[in-house]
Amino acid sequence: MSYRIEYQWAAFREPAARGDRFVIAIEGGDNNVWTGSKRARSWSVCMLGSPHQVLRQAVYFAGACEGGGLKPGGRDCSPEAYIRRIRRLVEGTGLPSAGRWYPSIELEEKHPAVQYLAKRGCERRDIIRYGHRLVAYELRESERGLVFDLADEFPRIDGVEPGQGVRLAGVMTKGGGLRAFIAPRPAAVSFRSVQHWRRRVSADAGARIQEGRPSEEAAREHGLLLLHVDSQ
Amino acid sequence: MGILPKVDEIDRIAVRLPSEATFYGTPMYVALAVDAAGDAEAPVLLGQQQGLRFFAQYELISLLCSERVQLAVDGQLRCRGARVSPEHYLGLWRKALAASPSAQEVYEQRGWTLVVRLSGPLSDSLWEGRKSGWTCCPFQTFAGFRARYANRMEQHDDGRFTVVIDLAEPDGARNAFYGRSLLSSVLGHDGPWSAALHLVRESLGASQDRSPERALEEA
Repeated sequence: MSYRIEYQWAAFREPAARGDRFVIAIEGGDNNVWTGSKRARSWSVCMLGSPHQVLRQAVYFAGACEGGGLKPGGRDCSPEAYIRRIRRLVEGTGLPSAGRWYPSIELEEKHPAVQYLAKRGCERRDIIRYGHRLVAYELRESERGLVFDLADEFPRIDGVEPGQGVRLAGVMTKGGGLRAFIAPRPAAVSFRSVQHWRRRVSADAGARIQEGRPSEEAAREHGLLLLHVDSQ
Repeated sequence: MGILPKVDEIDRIAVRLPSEATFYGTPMYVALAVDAAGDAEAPVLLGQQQGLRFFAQYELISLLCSERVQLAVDGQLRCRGARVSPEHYLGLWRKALAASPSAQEVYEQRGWTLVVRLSGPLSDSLWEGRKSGWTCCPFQTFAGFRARYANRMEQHDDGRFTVVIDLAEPDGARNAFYGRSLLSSVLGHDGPWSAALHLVRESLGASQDRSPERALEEA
């Protein structure tokens, strides 16, 4: 049976007027997906929101530990131990010295949150994922707090309802990345498309690589380890 | 999962089913949370919204993590009025799993009967030549199932049948599981059939006639 392995965890604290918000980024990958001789792994934002919202999402993910579908560090783990791990992360969070996160939101077309984001002038992109029409948003730096507003406003889309066709998450990129905590290696990231690469990397690093296709050389220059680009 | 009103859980029962109830080879359970409703008890069957389901331990823990354990995070779910951490709440369920009474013991201790109600079309053309998807099914065809429950199968004017099976009766859980499986495999997952688990409450020893149909009617 295939399972997800989680390798590293990191938390960001985002001060907010209504109380601190947290973003939990996890480096993980499937046990049976390989890139060359190594298991594929990537960072992604798996949980976000207030401490309670983060813990609720942690509880949801922890449910997969009991049956062996989720193995932190590649080892069996009880749901209780997984919840404790995330709780410690939230309770002991300092702002990380390197690494950033970006919100990436995908919603079903008819979800009320689409109207919510439209009223706030967010730029939407229509996509089709696995045959389902979705609306995607990649928020500007100034709009990042909206993901926390969404988690407050629509509790059902706080990232724990994949069956709803809703994803509220993010991608880790840039600058030494979270791996720098463990080893002086760049952050590993995947991009969904060349356009995605250009938007994200050029937003961080200026326009120098705005043109041209992603390359490992260019990625290294910007502190990234390019895993793959899904499509054009 | 939506935001639910506060729940005060006063007890929990993992009803253990006989090992031959399914082909999985692992212990299977039906989960029963007992919530407070004023001064009374309100038992709630967990995970049965989509129809009859028996749970292995890991499935039950996963189900709890997608529902009730999340409510424990911010105190929306309490145990006997007290806040509990998600970890502690899971521990309470592990104790319930370790204790796990049978359906018969639940009836003897609480007077609660767990019955499965299966319903579907009787039309021969639908069933002819169709077999269960499982070679270990105790009735390979609907004719076998019908013969087994001939004296209890209720036939309706619209050409449908209903049969009610008590999980405490000999082979009750097994026959309910494979009966549901037969309906699903022949009529299709979204076909014209239904299978549902009900909890029937009655006063301890109140009824001498413990037929599952009678219990369900009384409920």
